[in-house]
Amino acid sequence: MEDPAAAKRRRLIDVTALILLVATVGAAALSEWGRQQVAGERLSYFLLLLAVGKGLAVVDVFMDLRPVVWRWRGLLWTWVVGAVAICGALILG
Amino acid sequence: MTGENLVTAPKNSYPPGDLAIWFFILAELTAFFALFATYAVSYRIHYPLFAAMQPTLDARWGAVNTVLLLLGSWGVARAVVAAKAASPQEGRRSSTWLLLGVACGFLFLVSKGFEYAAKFRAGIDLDTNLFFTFYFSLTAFHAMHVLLGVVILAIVAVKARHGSYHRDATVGIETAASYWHMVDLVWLILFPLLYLLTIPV
Repeated sequence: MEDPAAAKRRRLIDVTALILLVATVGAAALSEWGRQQVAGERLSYFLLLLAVGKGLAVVDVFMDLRPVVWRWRGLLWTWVVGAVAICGALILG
Repeated sequence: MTGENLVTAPKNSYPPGDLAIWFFILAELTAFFALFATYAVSYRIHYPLFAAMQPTLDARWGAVNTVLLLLGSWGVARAVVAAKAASPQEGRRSSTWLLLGVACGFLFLVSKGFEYAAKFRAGIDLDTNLFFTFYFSLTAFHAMHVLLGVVILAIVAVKARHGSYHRDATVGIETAASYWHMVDLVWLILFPLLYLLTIPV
């Protein structure tokens, strides 16, 4: 009989992958639209926020750090949020 | 033991795979952060040049690259789940998923080759200007990590084909998967910084 925990993790991975793929295509389309409309910085902030969300999803779901103690998960979360915040502030600020 | 303890997922002290790979991953992430920060500082200093050059990059190539890496990460994550659920006799299941990761990584490198070729045909190279120096340096440095990841995944796939990974032996496949996801993670941040930001000059 199939292990329910494994089945749940499989579903989580599949759903996360699907969301990340849709978010990627959406971000590229938004960026193209933004260039034509000169939508400017607000769209850029949104695209960076989207990147943070995608990065955290990779850390939690693909890397499987969700059930791991915070010192490890927190280091990677800090990298994702810190890298985007610092670079984003420098570029857009 | 209380009822709460029975239903609460246990917290692990250490991340999946060999602990050494996580120190390597942290070192790599530090190096990439330094490169990203240098790019961002240069963007600020040479704003008109960078803002004018960035739209010349084709976001569609970047999106294709991202989709390939995400598909690869999906395959690798599923390979780990398959290995963890397999008995020693069923250990080969994860190999097919790992080969998806290898194929996606290989296609990523091929698409990067096409992207570079288009730039070279347009007369753009590492020396064109500072923006393209960063573009080629960042993407090539990342592509080298993808190449290493493809090699690692291919080796692990061959070992999985021989039944090396199952519920009692997952450290090897988890270690390789963790490295691959790090490569994916770096690209997810690099993609918007390099290709997507839309800042009017």
